[in-house]
Amino acid sequence: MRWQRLLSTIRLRLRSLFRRSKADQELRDELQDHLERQIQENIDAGMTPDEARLSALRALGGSAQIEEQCREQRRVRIVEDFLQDLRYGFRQLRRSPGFSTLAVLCLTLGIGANAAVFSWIEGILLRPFPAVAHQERLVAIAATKTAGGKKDIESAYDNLSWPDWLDFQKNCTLFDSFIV
Amino acid sequence: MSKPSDLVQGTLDLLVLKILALQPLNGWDISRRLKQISGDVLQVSDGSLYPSLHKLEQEGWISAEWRPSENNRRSKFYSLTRQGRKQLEKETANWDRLSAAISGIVRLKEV
Repeated sequence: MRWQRLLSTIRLRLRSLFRRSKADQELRDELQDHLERQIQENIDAGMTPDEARLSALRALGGSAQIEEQCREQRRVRIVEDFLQDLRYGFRQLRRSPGFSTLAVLCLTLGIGANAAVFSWIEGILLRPFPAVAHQERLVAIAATKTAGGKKDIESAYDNLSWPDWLDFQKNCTLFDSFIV
Repeated sequence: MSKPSDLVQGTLDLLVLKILALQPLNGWDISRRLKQISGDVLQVSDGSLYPSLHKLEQEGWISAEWRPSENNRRSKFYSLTRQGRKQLEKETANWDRLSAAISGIVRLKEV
């Protein structure tokens, strides 16, 4: 039930977009059909053909306006407008090639320079060990000194000594590998 | 005599759905039928009927089909879909609620 409705909606929207002239023609035919029936009714009621026609046109109202209101119901207006804007944009660009080239060049250089600087900063500052595959598993090891009494433990960080590091590398199974 | 009152907002959809629930019709016949059944009280302008029909079609509540009608013409006939029937039930219930509430207020006795 739901997907049926979805399918028929998609079919209708696609038709409104890609068979637009056919949909418009059918809309005109539909209103024309209505108009002719009204004219016939007026003639049957005793009007002359001209009177009948004018009166029918008056009764229906502005047909261009009605057509537009019907088209608005198709829900593809936003896509149509977007495409129209896009086409308009390209036309404007083509009209002044010098300015367009300059604008494209400026954008290219600007974006390129930004990307270059960022990738440099990223390599240097944000991801300092580019050779390590899983950066999120990186940790730093530090030694602590207990010499200053229990109170000072937290503030007493110290660097590992070279022999300690060699021992870690040989015996510690907690980490995959060590680098300095 | 005061002029025929405008349709309450949104009721045109309900009326069209109901009329199409009885039988598939083209735009012209729907317009005739509306005037006929309501005894000319409801003057739906044809200018607002067609946008409404197209809206209902886009919602998937009615489907349209070009078919030959009397004396060699081809007309766009609208018929209610299954979703349309559900929508009709929903809108009818809504209408009952709304009209009951309004008549309740309008018929209050003054003391």
